[in-house]
Amino acid sequence: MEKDYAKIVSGSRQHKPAAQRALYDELAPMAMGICLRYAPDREEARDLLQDGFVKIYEKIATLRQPEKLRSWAYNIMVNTCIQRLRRLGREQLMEDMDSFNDEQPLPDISTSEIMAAMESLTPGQRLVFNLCCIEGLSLDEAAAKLRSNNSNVRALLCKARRQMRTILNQKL
Amino acid sequence: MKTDNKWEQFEVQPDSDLYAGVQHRLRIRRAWRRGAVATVIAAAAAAAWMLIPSNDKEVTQPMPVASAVEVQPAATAPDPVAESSELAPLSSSTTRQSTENHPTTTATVATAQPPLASTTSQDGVLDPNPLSLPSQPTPLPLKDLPMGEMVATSEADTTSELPVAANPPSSPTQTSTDTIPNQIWAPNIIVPNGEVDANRYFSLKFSTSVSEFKLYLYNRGGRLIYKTEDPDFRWDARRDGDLVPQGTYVWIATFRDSSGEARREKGTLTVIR
Repeated sequence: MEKDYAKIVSGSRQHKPAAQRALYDELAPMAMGICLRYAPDREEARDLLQDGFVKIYEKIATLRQPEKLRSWAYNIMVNTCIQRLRRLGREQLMEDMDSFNDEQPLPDISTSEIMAAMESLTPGQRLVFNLCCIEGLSLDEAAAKLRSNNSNVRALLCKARRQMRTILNQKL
Repeated sequence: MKTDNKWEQFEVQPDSDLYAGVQHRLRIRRAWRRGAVATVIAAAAAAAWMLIPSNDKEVTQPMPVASAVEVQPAATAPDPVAESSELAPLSSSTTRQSTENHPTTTATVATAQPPLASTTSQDGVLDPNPLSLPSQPTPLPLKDLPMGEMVATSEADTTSELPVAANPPSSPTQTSTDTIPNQIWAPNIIVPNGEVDANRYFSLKFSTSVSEFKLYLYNRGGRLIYKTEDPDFRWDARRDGDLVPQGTYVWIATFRDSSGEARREKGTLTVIR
């Protein structure tokens, strides 16, 4: 059941405050979830959210199909987060390449526990973990998005998974 | 990219004040694109002339108001009674100010105060000179100043009203200055390269004449940046001819007001480039 976004999209395009507010209310929870996943802390998440929404409002004119609003906004949010984190300066990406085959599935846990555990990851690990394990991108897709190469992403991902498993196992 | 429902589990309701911040940023960006860059900065920063309180308790700087329009003494009234939060809400300051404005008790209103208790430092500002810094809460950290996530009550086209911000209100909404003598006014933000001339310099304005005036201006590291003994000074945010870095600075002024009282006032100043 698709909601009818046409009105709030066209209203936002015309800078109508009521429509803009409605757009924000519609997308804010999803956006906040994204930012909390990517950002190292809550303050940064709030900042990312605001930046992302600024982009959304400024680019609203380019959205041709209002029904695709959510996924379109989702992409903008994620890209905002990635751009910001890229600017944070990547930590040493050439991690040790030994344990590549550490591909066991992660234990099945609640979302909040996952998000809490993610806070212990370094920014690069969190970024890669988000892209590959949560968003479901492949290694190549993630590498393209991050403008890095496949092995770097893979190494980061392994470290991230290992770290997550350690944290989550401690909790169990 | 993904269907709606998949991410529902991750959804989190953001705090209610964030939307205002979004609108504020949008406004600034729009004005930025129109080319009025420095004016935007000044407007967003809402350089307000702050009534510098003089009292013996914890000094809390009133929160610089968003709109230049609101630069009136009532709105920036000092908060003599200590409030733990350094951002004294405007409304409470206003009411307090009004209760203290008894025309008959001019001498006691927020002026003649015993010397302030001395502590070692405020926010790490060291004091190399004999003046002992009075105890007070730390100066407003940069992030709490109006730049950024504040609810902008101004419609950002307060550019026309910026000149108001530059002058201490000539017609205060509360009792006129002769019932509350010996006030000083200071800007809290200056934009040295800005377009608005009034916001380019740091200076103090006095409601009465002062004598034995000394002003020291420190950066957050405690280094003395500027010093003057001229009450009509005007600081152009330069040190040895170079513009000082953007940031928060603290100033302290000692003087004798028109009633002969020794006064020590302090405030913070943000330099925006």
